Amino acid sequence: MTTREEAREGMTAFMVRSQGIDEAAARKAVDEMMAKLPAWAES
Amino acid sequence: MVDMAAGVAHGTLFVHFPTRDDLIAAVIEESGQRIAARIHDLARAGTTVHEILVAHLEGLAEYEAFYARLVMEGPLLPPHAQATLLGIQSAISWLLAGVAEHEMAVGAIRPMPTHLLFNTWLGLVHHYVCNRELFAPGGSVLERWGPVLIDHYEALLRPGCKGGEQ
Repeated sequence: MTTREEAREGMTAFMVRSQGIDEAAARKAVDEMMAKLPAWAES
Repeated sequence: MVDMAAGVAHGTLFVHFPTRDDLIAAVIEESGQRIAARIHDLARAGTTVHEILVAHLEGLAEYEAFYARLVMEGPLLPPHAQATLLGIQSAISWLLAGVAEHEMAVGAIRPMPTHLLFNTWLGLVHHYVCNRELFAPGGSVLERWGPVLIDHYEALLRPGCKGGEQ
C-alpha cells in the first residue's frame, strides 16, 4: 500500500515532469491538495 | 444575495461561512473540483493528443466564465485556491502526458519535453480565455476559436516542425 509520503513524492515528481513546476512549489501545492483529501489529510 | 439564491436565511449562511473569504474559498474549491472531474470524464477515453485537446476545451467551455476569472486572479488568490487551479491543470496534464509520450515514442509527434508540450498548449488556451471579450465578445471564445487553436497547436507538434527539441 502506498504511504502518504510516497504519494506526496509521486505527485510532486509528476507535476515537475509534466508541468515544469519548481520542485519546492510543486511539493507545497501537493500538500494543499492532499490536505483536502480525507484519505491523505494529516491527522 | 447568495442566501436568497440558496433559499436560506441570511444567518444560516454565516453558520457555514463565517467570512466572505470562506465563502469564496468554498465556491472556488467546489467549482474547481467539478471542472477537473468533468475534464477527466470527457478526456479519459481519449487515446490521441487530438482527442484529449478536444475534450479539454469541451470541459472548459462549460465553465468558461468562471475558469477565466480563476486563471486571471489565480496568482492573487490564497494557496488553497491556487492549488484548485493546479488541480484542474493536473487533471488534463496527466492524460495529455500519457498519450503525448506514446505519440512521441512512435514518431507521430516530434520529441520535446512533456512540460513544454503541455505549457505551450495551456499558454495558448489561457491567452484566449483571459482575453475572451476581445476574441469572442459576448460569446464563448472556446467554441469560436477552439478548433483553430487545436489545428494550430497540432501543426506545431508534427514531426516536420523544427525547434525546441531540447
